[in-house]
Amino acid sequence: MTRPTRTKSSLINTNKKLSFVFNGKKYEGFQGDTLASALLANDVKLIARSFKYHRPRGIFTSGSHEPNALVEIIHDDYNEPNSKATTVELYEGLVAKSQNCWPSLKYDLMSINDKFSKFIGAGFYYKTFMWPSFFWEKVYEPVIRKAAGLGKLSKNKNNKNSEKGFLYCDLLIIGSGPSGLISAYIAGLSGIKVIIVEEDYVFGGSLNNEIFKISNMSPQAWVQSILKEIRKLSNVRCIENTSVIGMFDHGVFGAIQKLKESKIEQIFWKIVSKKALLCSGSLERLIPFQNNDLPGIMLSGSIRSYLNRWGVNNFDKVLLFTNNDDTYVTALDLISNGINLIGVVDTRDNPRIFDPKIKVFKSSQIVSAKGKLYLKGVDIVNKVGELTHLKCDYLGISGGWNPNIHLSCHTGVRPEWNEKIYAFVAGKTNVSTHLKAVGSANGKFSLYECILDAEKQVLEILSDLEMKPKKYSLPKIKEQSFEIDPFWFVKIGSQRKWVDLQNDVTVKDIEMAYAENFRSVEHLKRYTTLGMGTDQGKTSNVTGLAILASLSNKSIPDVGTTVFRPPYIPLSIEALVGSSIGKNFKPTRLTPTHNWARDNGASFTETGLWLRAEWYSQKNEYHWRMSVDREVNSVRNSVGFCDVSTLGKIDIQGKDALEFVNKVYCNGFAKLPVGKVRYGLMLREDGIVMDDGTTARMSENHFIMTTTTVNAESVYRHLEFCHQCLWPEMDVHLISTTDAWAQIAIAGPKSRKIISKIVDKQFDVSNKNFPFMACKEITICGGVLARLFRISFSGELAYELSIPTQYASSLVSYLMEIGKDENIIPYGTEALGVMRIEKGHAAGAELNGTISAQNLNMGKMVSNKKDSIGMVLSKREGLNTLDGLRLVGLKPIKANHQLVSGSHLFNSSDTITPINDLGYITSSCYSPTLKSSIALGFLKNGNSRHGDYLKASNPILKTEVIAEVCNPIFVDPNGDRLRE
Amino acid sequence: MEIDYVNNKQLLEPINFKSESIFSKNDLQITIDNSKNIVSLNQNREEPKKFKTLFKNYFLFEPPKISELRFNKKYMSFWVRTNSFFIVGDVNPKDLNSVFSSTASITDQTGGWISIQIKGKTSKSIFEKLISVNLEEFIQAKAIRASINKINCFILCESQFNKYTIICPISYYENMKSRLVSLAELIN
Repeated sequence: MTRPTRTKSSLINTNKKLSFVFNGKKYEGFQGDTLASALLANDVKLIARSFKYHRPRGIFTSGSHEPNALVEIIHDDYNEPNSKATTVELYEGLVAKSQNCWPSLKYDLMSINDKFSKFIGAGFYYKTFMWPSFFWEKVYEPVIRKAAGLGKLSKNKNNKNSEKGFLYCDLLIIGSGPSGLISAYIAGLSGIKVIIVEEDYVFGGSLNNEIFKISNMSPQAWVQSILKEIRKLSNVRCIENTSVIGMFDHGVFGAIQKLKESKIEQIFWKIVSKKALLCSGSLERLIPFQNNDLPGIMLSGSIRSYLNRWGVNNFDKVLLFTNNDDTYVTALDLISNGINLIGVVDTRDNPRIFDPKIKVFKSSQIVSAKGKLYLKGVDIVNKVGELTHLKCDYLGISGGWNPNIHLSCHTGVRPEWNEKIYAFVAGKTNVSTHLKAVGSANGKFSLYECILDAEKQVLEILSDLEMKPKKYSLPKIKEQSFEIDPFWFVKIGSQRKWVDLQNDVTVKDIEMAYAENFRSVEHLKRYTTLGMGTDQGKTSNVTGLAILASLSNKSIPDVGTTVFRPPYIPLSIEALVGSSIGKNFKPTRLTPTHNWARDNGASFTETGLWLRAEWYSQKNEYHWRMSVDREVNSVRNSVGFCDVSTLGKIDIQGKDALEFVNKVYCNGFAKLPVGKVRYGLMLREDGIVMDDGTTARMSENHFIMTTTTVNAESVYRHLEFCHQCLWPEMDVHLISTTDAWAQIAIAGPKSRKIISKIVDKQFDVSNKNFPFMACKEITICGGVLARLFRISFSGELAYELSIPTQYASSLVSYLMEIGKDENIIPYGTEALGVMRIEKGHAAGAELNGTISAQNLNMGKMVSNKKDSIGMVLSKREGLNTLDGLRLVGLKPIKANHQLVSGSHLFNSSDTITPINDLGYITSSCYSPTLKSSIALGFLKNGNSRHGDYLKASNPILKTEVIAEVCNPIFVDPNGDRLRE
Repeated sequence: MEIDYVNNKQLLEPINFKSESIFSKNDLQITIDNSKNIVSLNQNREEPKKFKTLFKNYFLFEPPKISELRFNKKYMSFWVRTNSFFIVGDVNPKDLNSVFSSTASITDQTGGWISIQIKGKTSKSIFEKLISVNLEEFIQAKAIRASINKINCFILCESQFNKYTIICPISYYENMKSRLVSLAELIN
């Protein structure tokens, strides 16, 4: 009887041909095909080579539990190794190739491994590669690394767009087979928020593989009809191509969605659900016998899937081998499609008669498969030992069905053994209230039982959620039964019988592991690598446990299982990363004058999250030192401006604002008059310096505090802690205004001239009326509100002008215009840093979390007249030793020598050992003002050592410089310039 | 310094985005706006009842409760922390100072924040990928703190699944814009 190449299947579109390439050869398939179904339809049986022995392998399953058919998908700009041909949806122009073979799939040289299989059985690497020991790094490791692994990465940049997302629902339904669809239907009608996810690219689950009638419709038509009803419900969200990869605590699930025809390739969803139903069906298991890994040997249920769902009709001479009733459904479907079914080899003595046309080999086992690259036939043995050889091209095997319960174990719940179906089901002891297994995943192997179970479970959930179900109707299904006799492996024969196809683990390997005393299921797994491949042993685990049970004379439940862990299927790192790469990894903050700085030659540096102008290069400057030295000299001789908006600004207002400020700083603020700024030192509870800054009193109850850039957030958090937890009774408000106000430092002997040009006439900024450390709210440039502070950290006459952020860019342009006569220049953080080192002002490098006020020579600043944070513990003996570290300046005795930050200080005659260590350098720079390298550092008894010569040693950079200890304030030690 | 009265030229020009579109495609619009004033209105402890009355009389709605967004044609307000509210709209800090006087302190935040409005049916799909908040419960007239790309911001729901406003610090604007536009491009 002739038959078409493809049966009439409703799930492939035979009007839409798709061409693809496999191993360099062109083929055709149809829309709706997977790569596997298209290859089978093209009579391609040999797909891959196994991991260790490079044995020829073909397609074994029809889903994500595939152990054999791992291929590399070649995209334009990257390769995707280890893709399962059974889950890759066919598309026009798909290019795939086999992996783990060389030079070709058919003639793989590494198949020589199979000849040496006796020497490289399970765990061989624990007994080899020991001698000689020097071979390990030079020979063994490089060779093993080259040989190991499956697939290769292209190492090209991956331009895929991945995203992450968050979804919430009352009920998450995992799987869209009959139990999933019924659950979604009933739950959706009640009005609760439902999300139903399906791993496949079409909904329907196992119903897509069947041809029996449901409510007088084909299963596929029934799926479409109930889906249509479900999609009408706005409270139900259906997502296909989405695998739930893990269940986590508190009802949180991770799911990866692959998108078609979208610029986003995948989305990693975090789904938070009050309840969940695991409708993930069940997976067929194999039966190990001699050479049961040949191409052409598949799971019986998968043959049925390829036949009914994908219309693959070129199976010829098919034999089936089973211990359960489900295989007979495959047999009937094969017959009805005119396929030559040789018969069913059934291990049972009295299997039910499904159809007299089916030839049944009762009480029989297949003892061996014959063939080299493909299956050619099998030997079967009956109860009395009679051997029969049968020729066949395809063999469907079924050792039973395992409910797919991985997700139910992810939070540590162990599965329980069900003697009726000879499989594990989801554990009920200490079960999470969030997830319940339903239908086939709950061990119900008939459609009738699945639907009833789904109804029961979803009604329980609705009751838990205090929702009433609305009227619904269930499809009419005949009651069916499922029978199975346990049969784990064929004992006859001494050749290898494959248990875990992906990792090449055989029955012999398990026996050997047991003999070597690896008898716990956890040891068995690690020693043999059973279940450790990308398929996670979905077709082999239970069989392996059963073999271990028979060896140890225990029951399978007593042997137990290993722990299933996320992810359920392999997950790429990029899926977990989502869009958090490149610029999205860490946000960047831009200063108000950023664009102006960029347009005016600034080079930028990262300071925390901020991008700050480091220096401004001019045309003839080819080295950064040229720019920085110029900027420093210009400020010291004339005037410059710098955007210091990144400093934290905290607006403190309220009746108790003064008291609050006085308590958070260690120095006194109680008598700070209105219109004055004061330098403030902030200590931690333990007396160590946390931060420094200035606080200005704008009015009676209004203060503006500044912090260092890096500590802006932590200081604000600290202040909030103080207010909320320590002094909640205080009537004070703390508002961060770092972004609202731009702050421009204008420094240099001509800075007052510049200020006078922009401040509106009614404000007097003379030295008399606006002395050092004064502050005022003013207006500039014809009425723009601003705040002026006369503060300096550079040792020059200087101001800081605070204006609303939106005016900053315009202001700096205006400063350049009106400051031409004074040769005004912009300067960056490098010049700022040089000048503060020249001025001996402590900054982040000095405030390193170990330094006290005494170390900074500011011990007297800590007021004894009031309580403040850190005051008590700052008096600790250990922080007040006479010979403690003190802030000093350092200058090399030879001007061309460079002091390096991080260097440690030693007496000239001492050896460089920790015992002789006297301190360290915190900040260093080249000073264009002094024409020498200078540094700040901490030195034991430093104040008494001015004039001494020390060694500054840096063992990492291998430098040693002799330097003179001096006053840390190199420029304007008396503060005359900043007060002029 | 001379003020150029003759030409009436403003010496300093503020950077001002007013309903500037940064993305518009297939029903999704993203616009930016920093033209409105923003102040923090911080209630002092002593006269809570007087504060509440003054608030209602001035803004024509009551002080918002936690996660509440109140708005009318002129003003918008949401709760920020205990006794502290953001006011967005045509507000003058000096006027507020004189109205509220001893009952509250005012902190001008204008220019420190930028409003980004996302409007259209696809806005739900956008926010599902931006924030970890349950959008089903983030209904109209609600305001939340959230983090987008590790940028702390406020999000206001003016119409569920259709119109949201993100208020984020101006220094993060370029990062936020880049993220929103690139995501909008991918989804549309």
